[in-house]
This record gives sequence, C-alpha cells and structure tokens, in this order.
Amino acid sequence: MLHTSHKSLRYDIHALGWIVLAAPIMLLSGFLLFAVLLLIMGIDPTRFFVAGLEMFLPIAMGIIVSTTCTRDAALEIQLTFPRTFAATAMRRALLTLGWSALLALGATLILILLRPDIQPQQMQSLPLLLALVGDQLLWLAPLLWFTALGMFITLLTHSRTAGGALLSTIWLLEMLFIKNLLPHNPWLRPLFLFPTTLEPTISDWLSTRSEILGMALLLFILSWLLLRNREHILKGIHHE
Amino acid sequence: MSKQREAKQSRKSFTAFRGAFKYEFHMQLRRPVLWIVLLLSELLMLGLMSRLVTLHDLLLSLRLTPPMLTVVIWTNSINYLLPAALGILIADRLPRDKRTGVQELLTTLPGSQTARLFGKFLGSTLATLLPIFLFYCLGIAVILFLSRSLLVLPLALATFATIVLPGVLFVGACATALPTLIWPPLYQFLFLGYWFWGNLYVPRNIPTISTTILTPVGGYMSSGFFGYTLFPIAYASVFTGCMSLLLLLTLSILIILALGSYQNWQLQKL
Repeated sequence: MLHTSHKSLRYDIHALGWIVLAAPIMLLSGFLLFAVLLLIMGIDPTRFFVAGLEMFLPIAMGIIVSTTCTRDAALEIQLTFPRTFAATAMRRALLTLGWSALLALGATLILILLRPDIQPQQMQSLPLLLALVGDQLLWLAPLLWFTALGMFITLLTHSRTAGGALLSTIWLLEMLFIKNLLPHNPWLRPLFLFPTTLEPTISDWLSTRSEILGMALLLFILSWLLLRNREHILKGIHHE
Repeated sequence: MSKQREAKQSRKSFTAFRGAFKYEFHMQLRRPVLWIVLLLSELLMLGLMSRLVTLHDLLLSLRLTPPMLTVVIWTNSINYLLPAALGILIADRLPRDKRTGVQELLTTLPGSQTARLFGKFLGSTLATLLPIFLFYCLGIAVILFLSRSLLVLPLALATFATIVLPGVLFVGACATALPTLIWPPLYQFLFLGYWFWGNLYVPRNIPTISTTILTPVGGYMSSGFFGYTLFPIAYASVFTGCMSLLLLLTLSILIILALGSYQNWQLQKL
C-alpha cells in the first residue's frame, strides 16, 4: 500500500515536472535575496516580504496550477481508468499547493516571530498560538482563491493561456485600483485579496479572509464537477 | 549571377515572411480564447473605472476636458492593463509549434527562418492587438460624439501609433522569444511581475525601472509628445519620447534576430 502510494507520488511529480516544485522555492528565495539587498540599502524589507507571500506567491501558483491541472502525456488513457481523472488532477493540485503552503508557513512563522508588529490588527489581540494560526490566512486565502479560479477558467475554456491571462488581469486590477474603490463600494470588500499589504489597519481582515476562502471552495467544487465530465476534458486535449 | 541569386533569396524570404504573417494573423484571430480573455479584461477594466467615477461625472468631465487630453488619457488607460494580457496570450505560440512538431517541419521549407519568425511575431502580435484596437475605437467614438471635433480622429491614430504600438511590439517580441528559453508559466509570472514593477510601480522605497525610457507602457511618448501621462515618469521631452520609442522598436527587432540566431544554432547542433 505504502509502496503504491510512493510510486503514485513519484509519477505525479514526474507528470507535473520538477520545476513545479522548484518554482515556489525560487520565488521565495528571490524575494529573500531582494529583501537582503533592501536591508543593505537601509530600507525596511518587511512589507516587501509580506507582499511576496500575500501577492506574488498566490498568482505564481495560480498560473502554474492553471497550466498543469490537465497536463498529462497519458491523459487519454487516464480517462479510461475506473478511478476518475478528477481525483488525480485534484491530488496533483493539492501536491503543488501543499508544497508551496509548507514553504509559506515556515516563512510566515519566522516573519511574525521576528516582527510581530506586521500582523493584521485583528490578530494582535489574540493569544500567540491562535494568532500564529490565524496569520497563515495572509497567504492561504489568496493562494487558494487564485489557484481555484485559475483551474476553473482553464477547465471551462479548455485553454491554459486563458487561465494565466485572466488571473494576471485580475491581479493587476487588485494591485492598482481596489484600495481606492473600497471607501465608496463596500460590496467589493469580499474581493479585497491583499489587505495585509495594501491596508494593514483594516478592521474586518478575518471576515474578508473567510469570504475569500468560501469563494475558493466554491470554485474548487465547480472545477471538480468539470473534471468529472470526461467528455469535456477529452475535448480540451486538442483544443490549444 | 550573384545578384540574381540574392534577389531570388530575398523573394523566398519575403514569401516566408508573408506566409507566416498571414497564417499567424488568421490563426490567432480565430482563437475564441483571444476574444474571451480580452473582452473580459476590457469589461473588468470598464467595470472598475465606472466605480471610480459616476457616469454623470464622467460625461461632464468629457465635455469640459479638452479633446486632446481626453484622447491621451484614454490611450494611457488602454496601456495600463491590456498589453499585459496580450503578452500572455502570445506566449504560447512558439512552444505550441515545438509541441506539435510544426517547427521541425518548417525548417525543411525554403526561405529564411528569421523571416518566418518575423512573420510569426508580427502576425500574432497584430492579431492580438485587434480586439484592443476595436475597444480603443469604441472609446474614441464616445469622445468624438461628446466633443464633436473631427480632430479627435487623427489625434487618436497618432496617440495609438506612438504610445500603444511600440510597447505592444516590444511585449510581442519578448512573448514570442522568451518562452522558448524559459518554462511558459514561469515566463507569464515574470512578465506580469515586470509589467507591474517595471512600468506601473510608483517609485517609493523599492528600486524600479519604471522611470527609465525602457517602459513599454509608453509614459515617455505620452508625456513627451502630448504633454500628459498617467504613468510614473519624472520628466519627458520630445527627445526622450523619441529615444524611448526608438529603443523599444530596436529592441523588438534585436530580440527576434537573436531568437532566429538561437534557432539556427540549435539546428546546427542536430
């Protein structure tokens, strides 16, 4: 049983490609190096590193998952198996996400322990252990939202490029406009993806995080339903 | 004899360029995803813009602002987001040719490989630009209707040609060439990061190149030629505008030439 799981994991990593697992390490290392450079230049790099976890890691993983979720050289054979391809695709997405989540968890813990003041205001009043758990929503909520949306767009449009392009547009809109829109459009609050970086003093940090998690869950369910439709997946193989 | 051979060679290269251009242009235009992505991006952009100002205020400001300034602002707004989507939509063209074996097949045909690359680059870039241009024309039609000044039309063409086009060609050249060297999703992410950091990021603490003349977003052309820009540049003159435009066009050509040399080198290795 353990041997089969090990083989399956190895095959999943092979199908995804080592670069998928290397990407979050490269990204966080790049941010760490740039943060050191900023430190040498006398600039406080904390907020920059928070941006790396909250803004850049989620979009990077969103683009990667949207590209790799249906990529398999043996996809047509996989679709004939009794075990559904939906389970395989979700397992691979979780493997990709789990690995980047592990790295983000470590980075956030170190960051918060070194600089507790960068925590969202709502978390600062909580006991340390509970706050450390809650702080993980900083990267977890946008990470799940972007990957779920990227996967859903790719499956719906049969296009890996569409997922990446639309995620990029949304990401840029969030970065550039959403903060200025919020005061007059409170209904946009559940779509405020990067409050820790853009508005650290936000009062409803936890509720917006849970709303984003809820949307991500809904998108994962929709993606699951699309993945279960074998005919739909088969059509997408030769689409691009 | 040698002149005849040269003329024949250049005819073959031109045929390869024309063939690649026509094929890429039509193929890209027929991709539903191109229209879906750009239409959704445009709707999202319009949706957010409509939340920033009310329709009444917008119409009032359109009537009160000089038409030239309105056209420049509209051209700058187009360049905020849409070239980023364009860069990602083109990024899969050459990797696709490699995956389907078309690239290998094309090497057996007469005509220069580099000419074919130029055709591919221009065909896919201009086809992807078409939905953006149509959206741009829609905005210009509204400005024309409200200002009732026919001067808007040549001005709109001039701003599009000098602010949008050079940057889009640079983005198209990078999107054609770089995914052959790096993993396409990684390219997409790096390009997006570059678009934000190297074009839109207002210099605060973090060092940036968004104030240099190497900004495909077109701030130098906009400010240098037309006197206004939405982008974070410190100072621009006609000279820096020309320099920025020439730099972007030269780099676009050099990138495709370098890609052609790289592909020829790869062929020789086989």
